[in-house]
Amino acid sequence: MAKTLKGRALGGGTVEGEAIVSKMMFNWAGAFNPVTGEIIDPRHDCTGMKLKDKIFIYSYSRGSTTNPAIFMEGVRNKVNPVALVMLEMEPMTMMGVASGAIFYNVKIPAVDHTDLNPIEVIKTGDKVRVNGDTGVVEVL
Amino acid sequence: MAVQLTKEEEEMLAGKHGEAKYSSMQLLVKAAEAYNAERLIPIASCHLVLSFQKTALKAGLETAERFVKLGAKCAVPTSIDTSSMDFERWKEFRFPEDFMEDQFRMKKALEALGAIPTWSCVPYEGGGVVPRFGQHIAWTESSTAPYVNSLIGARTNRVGAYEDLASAITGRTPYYGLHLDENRLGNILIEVTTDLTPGDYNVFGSWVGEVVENKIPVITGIPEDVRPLDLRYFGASGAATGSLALYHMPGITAEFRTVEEAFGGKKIPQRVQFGSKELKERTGKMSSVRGGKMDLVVIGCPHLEMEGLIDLANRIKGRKVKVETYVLTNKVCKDMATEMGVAKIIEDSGMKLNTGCCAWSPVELCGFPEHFTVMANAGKQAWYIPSLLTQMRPGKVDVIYGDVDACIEAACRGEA
Repeated sequence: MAKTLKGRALGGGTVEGEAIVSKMMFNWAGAFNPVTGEIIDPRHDCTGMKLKDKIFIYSYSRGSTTNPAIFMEGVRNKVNPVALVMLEMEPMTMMGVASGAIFYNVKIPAVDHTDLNPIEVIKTGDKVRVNGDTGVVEVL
Repeated sequence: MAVQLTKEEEEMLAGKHGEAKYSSMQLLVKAAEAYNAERLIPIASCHLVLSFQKTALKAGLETAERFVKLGAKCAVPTSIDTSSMDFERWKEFRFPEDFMEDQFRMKKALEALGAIPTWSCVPYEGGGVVPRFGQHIAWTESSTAPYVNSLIGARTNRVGAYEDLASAITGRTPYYGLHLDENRLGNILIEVTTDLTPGDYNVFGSWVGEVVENKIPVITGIPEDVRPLDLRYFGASGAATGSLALYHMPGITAEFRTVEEAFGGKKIPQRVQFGSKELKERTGKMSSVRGGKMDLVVIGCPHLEMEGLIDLANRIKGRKVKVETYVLTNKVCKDMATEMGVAKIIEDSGMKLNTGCCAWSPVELCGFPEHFTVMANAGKQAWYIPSLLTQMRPGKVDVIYGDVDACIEAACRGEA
């Protein structure tokens, strides 16, 4: 059954892809390998999964000031997730997304504060369309 | 909400002041939107963390070099945070050559942008700018924010990588968070009911970071003669375990004279105590192993300044360490310590001054065994080494926390 979620639009255009859904918080610095795109934190519920070309759906980040740098390196190496859907976007991740668009011309749609809980509604492996300009997230 | 810009800022955003200011202003406007800031404000100074090649990586380097090519210059006095290696002794400390090249390229780029080469997490103790009370600034790196916000009463948020560079180039920062009066008031009271040794400020800071999360603590029970050095360890530890960016200790810190003032005359919403029980419990959590042999001892996170170096020299004089021991400081302090003979006393013990470097990078980069143990006198490293670091390299790194004296004793004995 098709499901549609509506949230806050954080920009970046539209993209379709396969979801990776995590129930945990995620810190780019330390948990993301910016060379391989892999989640490397052994305590993380998606450890070993690769975020490259995926839509990453998770709760929030803790906000290390080096998060934008690690995220940007992932963009430079083309192993970044293609869209983000979060319970709440936090400034450091937003800076990584914005820096990727400005310095590497890579647009990553992002949506947060959706009406339905994306972590419960969407499952890893689902095909999803994210529109960062309207805030609409569709499970296809 | 649209971000309101001044005429000059509009011009920057329209590309009338060159491509570097154009990109930087785009980023700051994005940041302002994300923070719900209604406008930007001019800043008096900036402190950059993009310097740290270990996390800046190729993307950070390319961006800094791109700005140099565009002819960009820092618009306000801008200091530089730690390097990931000692620029003079990198070979002796076994930093890999490819990494060394990138770190030197970053040095060249940031200095070409006109940044002050402090290479320190205590830039105000190493030739960098000392902000004044009430000044709006954009300072990054977790340990500088609590210090300049609290001890000096300047105003900064914890600025992230890239945003720091954009602020330096434009001389602006989004007006939100700790720049606003109403967000600087305390909202949790912490009563310290036990005596703290200098080393205990690391333990207390680590505890505070976890307890307050993103709240602003007002802290009582700290003796008036507490050293800035100890408060630096406190702030850095709290910023590591939580997001501590501002605290008030009425009578010690700059902003408020009394507890009542620090809460804006409002009812105290939450009250917790830090006593001997909490101190003992938290001390027990600082180390990932109980003791034993270690492969490396690091002293100075944040960087030791003159007071810290002199203090260390007095304690280590005439003794010899059996374990590789790094003393982290900045270039200005190293030069003065050398002139005073303090550096010689420290180095005669076998300890090595690792200048401009962060405690984190050698642990990961300098060819230590897959599973090894570090002893550190810093709550920040005690927190980061076993968590963050072990994810970035194969194997396991254990940490033993101890105060300066404990580190000296262990380094001389060869085990903790």
